[in-house]
Amino acid sequence: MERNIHILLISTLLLLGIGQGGEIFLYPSPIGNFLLFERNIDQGITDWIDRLSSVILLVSPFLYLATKRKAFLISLGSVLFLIALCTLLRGSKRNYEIALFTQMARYIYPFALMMYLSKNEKGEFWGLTLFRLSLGSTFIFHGYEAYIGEPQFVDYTLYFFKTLMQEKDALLFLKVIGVIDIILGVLCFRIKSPWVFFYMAFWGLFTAFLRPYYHGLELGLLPMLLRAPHWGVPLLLALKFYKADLKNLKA
Amino acid sequence: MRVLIGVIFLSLISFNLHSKEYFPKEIKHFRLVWHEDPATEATLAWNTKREIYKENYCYMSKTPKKGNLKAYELVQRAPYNRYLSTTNKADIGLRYFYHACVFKNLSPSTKYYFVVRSGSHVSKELHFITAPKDPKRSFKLIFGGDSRDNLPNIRRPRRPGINKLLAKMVEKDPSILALVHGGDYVFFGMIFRDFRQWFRDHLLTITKDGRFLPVVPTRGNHEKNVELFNDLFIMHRKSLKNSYYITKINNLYIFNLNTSIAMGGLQKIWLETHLRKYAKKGNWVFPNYHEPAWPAVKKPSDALKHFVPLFDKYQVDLVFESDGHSLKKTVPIYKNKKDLKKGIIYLGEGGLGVGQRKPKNKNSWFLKKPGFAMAADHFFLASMKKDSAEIKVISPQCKYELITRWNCLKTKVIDKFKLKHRAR
Repeated sequence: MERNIHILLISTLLLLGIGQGGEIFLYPSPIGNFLLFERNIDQGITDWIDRLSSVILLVSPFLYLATKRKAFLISLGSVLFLIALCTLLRGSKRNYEIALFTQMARYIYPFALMMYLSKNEKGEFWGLTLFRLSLGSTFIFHGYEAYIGEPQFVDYTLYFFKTLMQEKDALLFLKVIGVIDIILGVLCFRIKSPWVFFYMAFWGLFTAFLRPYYHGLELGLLPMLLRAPHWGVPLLLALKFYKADLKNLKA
Repeated sequence: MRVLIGVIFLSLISFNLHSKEYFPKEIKHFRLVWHEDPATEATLAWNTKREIYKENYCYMSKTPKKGNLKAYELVQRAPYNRYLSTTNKADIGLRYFYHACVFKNLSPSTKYYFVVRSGSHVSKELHFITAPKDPKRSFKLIFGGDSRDNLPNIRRPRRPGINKLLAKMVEKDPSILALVHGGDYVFFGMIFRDFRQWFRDHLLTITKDGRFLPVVPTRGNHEKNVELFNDLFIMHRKSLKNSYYITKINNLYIFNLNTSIAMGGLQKIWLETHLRKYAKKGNWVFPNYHEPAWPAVKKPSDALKHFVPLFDKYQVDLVFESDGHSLKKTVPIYKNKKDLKKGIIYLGEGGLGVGQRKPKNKNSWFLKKPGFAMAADHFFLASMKKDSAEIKVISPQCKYELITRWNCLKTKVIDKFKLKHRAR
């Protein structure tokens, strides 16, 4: 079981780095956009910052695997945090205003992983606490977006259900989904049931897969990869609590 | 130092002089909006501080009356008198009240002189020309988007310079009727504070003889406060409140779409229904929306998935996009491939004041010759005739000067091309 958990943790890290690094390699990043338009920094410099961010995101997970140096996780987490922060500061869409909360599972992940793998009980405890915190925040605020009918979510819903649903039905459906997400997000701070986390992992994986399903592989693959923590973190927590349940049963 | 302060002071005064020339300080942020039928309909709107004026009127006439209120032929008591929909903390203390008159049954291709009144405060007489309703009559429109400023540049805005240039263009060529805006008017679209300056700057488009340039509004992603946007551009009626609607001028149908709401639901159904109805032989169909389907910089928006297949199916003539902050013209595209016969050209992507950037997707197949992409302030001049249309891609050549601020009195025509009716 521990080995499986380890593989899960590392795979999530790699997918996150490749997904987000690839996005920034192909398209302007929120960091570059913020510096260019809101700080008037020359595009030559902002393009260079984007390239550097992309390299850090793509390479850091592999360098961490090779060297086990924490610095690579810190640099990865820092760039991911800056992306969320600059998305918030640009605020050019309504949902960007809560980017620090919706993207928390991504930028917390490297830091939580660093603590979790520190091989001492305190570290593992704080690592798991951070995982829970970031997962809770991601679910609560995505739930909020769903509840208020985020247009992108409406389009995903309509596309998934094809002719079975009209826009008003999609909005109602998203309200229900939103409430469930918010409840789960709040509960995950307290509960220890692996089944709740299994459901959250399923939902995280499903919503990540919606990206390539909706946008096609060319546009949807990287967004799917960078959402790896949305299912990786709950799956980790599910496996942890499942393992604990098994232990209790045996005892 | 004193000289410097003096120069700055004078430049600030000259900047505000234009608005004071036409409107008393009590009548603020005047706008003239065109929506669905600009040949017969026009909306006049303005703001006052709080609801202190019980009497708010619009006066209109086909001949100049020089402000003699009793002489105007059309008089309307403003049916819209409400507080602007903004509860944001940043707007505390502003408490603006908006007033609007909607004139219907106007005569097409007619010069209308107008004044507005709040209490005893009356504006000076201005005029505008209604759109034609005679297919033989040619006309011109300016298409452009992203007139927001870069944040630190709010003190050195480029927008006023471009607006002054538009005024010069309208003076020279009275057949230019209106500005079709592609969205992102301001940076902080959530609040009204930033919009104030946009409306003040728009007064710079007034020509020397007092002609006012109407705006056809489209919603961009920065217009995050839907209620406020609808209040500012008087988009309350059912056909306008979701910010997708058709502006019809002669045989031109401008499909103003909204990329800030779901595109695959009701909007898509509406689009298909109306394209089926209006994309017929002899009509011009120009969709206009904010987030690009074929971007020079960013990722494609959902317009690619939901709008583009309909554009292909109904063979629209030309598409205007904004948002990317760079100038682009695509190759003619049909079913995601270059197609010189059935392909549609996408023009964009917003350059009415926002800083421009070098396009990242410059080498994409859809931006290869005869397409292009570059960093340049820009807008498009569409000259519409019954059977042909000419599009000019115009880049204002702006220079920063201390007193005049951005001086954009020169233009460069980057490209021009003609359109003929499609065999639909």
